[in-house]
Amino acid sequence: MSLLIGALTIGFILSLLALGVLISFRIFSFPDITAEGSITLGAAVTAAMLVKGVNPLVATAAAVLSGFLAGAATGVLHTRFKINGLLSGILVMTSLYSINLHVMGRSNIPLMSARTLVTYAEHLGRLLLGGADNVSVAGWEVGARDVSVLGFSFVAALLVGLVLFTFFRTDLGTAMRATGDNSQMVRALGVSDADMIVFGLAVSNGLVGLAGALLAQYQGFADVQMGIGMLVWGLASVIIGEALVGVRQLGYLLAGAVMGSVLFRLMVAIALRWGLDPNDLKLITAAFVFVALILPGLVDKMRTRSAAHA
Amino acid sequence: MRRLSLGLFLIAAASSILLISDWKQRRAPTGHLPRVAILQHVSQGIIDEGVRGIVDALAENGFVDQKTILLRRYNAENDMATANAIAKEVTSGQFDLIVTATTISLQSVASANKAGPNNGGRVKHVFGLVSDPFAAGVGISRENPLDHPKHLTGLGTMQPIRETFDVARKLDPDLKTVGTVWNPAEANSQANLKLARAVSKDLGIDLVEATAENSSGVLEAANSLISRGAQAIWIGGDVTVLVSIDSVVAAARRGRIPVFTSVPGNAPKGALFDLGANYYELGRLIGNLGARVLKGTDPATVPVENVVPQKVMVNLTALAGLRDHWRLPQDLLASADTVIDAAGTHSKAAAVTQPSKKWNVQVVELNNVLDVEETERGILKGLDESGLVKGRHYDIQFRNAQGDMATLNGLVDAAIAAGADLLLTLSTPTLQAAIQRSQGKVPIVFTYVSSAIAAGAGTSDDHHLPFVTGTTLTPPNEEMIAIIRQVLPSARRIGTLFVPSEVNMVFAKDGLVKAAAKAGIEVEALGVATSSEVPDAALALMSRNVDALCQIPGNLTAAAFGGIAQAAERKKIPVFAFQTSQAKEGAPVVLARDYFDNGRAAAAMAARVMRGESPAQMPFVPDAKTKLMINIKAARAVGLNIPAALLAKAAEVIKE
Repeated sequence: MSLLIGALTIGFILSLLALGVLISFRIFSFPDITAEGSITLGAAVTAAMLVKGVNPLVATAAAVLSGFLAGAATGVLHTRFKINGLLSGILVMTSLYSINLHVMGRSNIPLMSARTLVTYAEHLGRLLLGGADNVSVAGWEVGARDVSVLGFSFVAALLVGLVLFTFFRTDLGTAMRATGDNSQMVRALGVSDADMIVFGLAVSNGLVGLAGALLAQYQGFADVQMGIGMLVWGLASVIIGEALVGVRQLGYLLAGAVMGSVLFRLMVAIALRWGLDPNDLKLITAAFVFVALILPGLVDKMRTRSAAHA
Repeated sequence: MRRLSLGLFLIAAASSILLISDWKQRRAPTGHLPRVAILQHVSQGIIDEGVRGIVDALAENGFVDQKTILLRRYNAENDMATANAIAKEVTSGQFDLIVTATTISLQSVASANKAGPNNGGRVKHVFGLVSDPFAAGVGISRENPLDHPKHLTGLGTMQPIRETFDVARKLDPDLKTVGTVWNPAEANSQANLKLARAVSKDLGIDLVEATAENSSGVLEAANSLISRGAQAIWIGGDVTVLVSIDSVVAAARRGRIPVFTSVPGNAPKGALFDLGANYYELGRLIGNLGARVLKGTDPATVPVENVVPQKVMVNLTALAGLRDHWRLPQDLLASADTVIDAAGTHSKAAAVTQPSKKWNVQVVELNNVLDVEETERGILKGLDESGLVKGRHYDIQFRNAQGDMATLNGLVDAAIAAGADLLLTLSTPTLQAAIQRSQGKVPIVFTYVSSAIAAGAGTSDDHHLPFVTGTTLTPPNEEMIAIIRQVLPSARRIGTLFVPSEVNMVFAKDGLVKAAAKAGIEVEALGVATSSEVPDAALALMSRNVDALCQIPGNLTAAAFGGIAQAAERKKIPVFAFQTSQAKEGAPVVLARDYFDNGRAAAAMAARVMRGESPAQMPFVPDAKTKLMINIKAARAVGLNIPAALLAKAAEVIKE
């Protein structure tokens, strides 16, 4: 049960990463690999501030801002200096590696004794649950702490999703979406597509930075290597989510990305729980992603077939 | 909403799969766990020991209190009325199994447990620590060990009275008169006496009896024996008398005669020797039987047998001042489990306590590299050497996050969900994730960490989180610098490559700089990020006017060490290294911490935790062992002379 709660929690936290990836890759069709560096940047900034006793809310906001700046840097490299989008991402990501080391001062910062948003969530949860250390969910003993953190990460994902949904329906948001769909048309309409791309990448990486900040607070440490491989899994979540909802309408895409992230983490958790040969872990994860991708198609096929029969 | 349904359905399905895998973790509504009652009539050394054996054996069979069974222990405190009340309570139907220790508990439960169908008992009942169950009047036939009430089975343990008297005769061949005190109200004691009478008759010994109705009558009875000419006092399995054995010993001492018994545990109190049953072992046999019944064995099919695992205790100090000539032959001393002399108590095979349950040890690792594999081997070896038996005392499972830190948390969760009783972590992030996710519910032993304090596990080796302990692995910098000074007295600048993102390397680099500074040596450190940069970086480093390379240990530099060695050979600069594999790869001198040994040391600490020690009491242990390896061929290639004194110290010398 704690594994399920843990998987859901990480799924919701990393759904912020998936949402960020969704914005760059899907809405802007921009292959932005800055995310791999900015998730660590978010974690590093938060951790460095938390150990200095900064308020967790401020530290988390700083992480969002730092991610925002990192994304903007990639955007500027691409639009102002006409550097290929992929390469701009590589440049920023690579430099972030050193920047992260500088931000943290070393390669790993433990947050065992620091006050974090997670400890806030725990206090709040404990108040709501009447001070009990454990709650019983259908017979399982579950730590009140775990439940509150899960609730917190769920609310965070939900809020971010709603904000994004509202934002992308404002004029500015609509213009941003239009940039991704057809930049020539946007330019013809008198909107600067370059500004849109810079801003879009900034928002995207701001979200990724937030994911990193929450992840560091959840797992209790920031490590300079924690971003490695994250982008791939974020992308996998987005694509799984897309396959699940089957349409490219904004609301569904956002919901899909969150669901994809959660589902992906659940699958990893199942692979872990079954205690399969540790050497096969990645292979099995890949197999799960494969199944998640083809399953919606199969379901559709079955639907149409049964409709044809009827 | 319809479009979201597939995703939600899959999430629900995946969650259910996880929950079903965790089904066993579920704390079942309390009624569903088997309820077991353990009864004893009185608190006394041997009975407590027996009960301890019962509980341990149940746990070894997977029946752990609060986890897989609900265990209640009752003690009548030597009061018959209480015993009957307890018997009524435990047989009223709320228990699935009753285990009784002592004859009186057997009898009281057996009589309360009668009203079941076919006059069988309502509750299954396993008994033990009973001298003569056939004489206890509970319907067990002496002739046919399978003829007993259907719900009832157990072990009889007749005290080895014949053996006891044989030994007594050997110690004093002139022994003619032996006295004994006993309580006729104890069925147990009656059975003992009956046998003792027969035995002494066979040996031509006159058995003088005195009875005591309760403990206060024991002293008087013992005194009477001395005035009736007893040359020694023997005590059998009589609870009343054993409780006041001190009175018997005091009386005997006044009469300058020895006391010997058929029940272990009295020699430390002044008896000359005890030859009796090993009650802890006996308790374990009873516990195993109870576990079999819990697993479904029908008590009716289990014969009631007499089982006596023997135990001998000898007290040499009791020889002093005896009236008759008692000798203790060497063979008796050699066979004794415990010998007490003026210097103290000596136990054979200093009873190592074994874990009270089967431990589920979960090893969590971050990445797959050679060092981790070596540590793994060390862990397995160390657990083997600790005397713990895999499958009996512990099970072990290895989990590896394959370098993915987001997986690490899930991995620790999965280990805990799989019922981990102990987490063994490799690498700093693994330790941190384990601390965060277990929240102190599972003890953690770490290894493959260069500084647990930097990882946040404590403020010093002695002051740390109460559920965490382990071994740290710091490179032997001081020793290394001393070797460099010995081999290259003129060295003033040494160089090393390091990977800023490897926390261990940064730590190692700082350590090296500090140690070198003490010896007046400067360290030139150059950062690298990928293995492809290593050869170039090595060349760059050597063009910075360094006298030698002193390569600190790290994952990346280990993987690309060939590049470093080649560059050094070209520039004729010697390399001193810290990892065993690097001696073969061209480092003339290697002074290594052994990952294998470090794993072994961590396993030894894990074994201590399994044996009941609290990690809070165990300081973090820096690994102290080093292994010196010298590659003569590589030394010659760079024109390095290895002093004979150093060669002599090397654990391994590579010539070709």
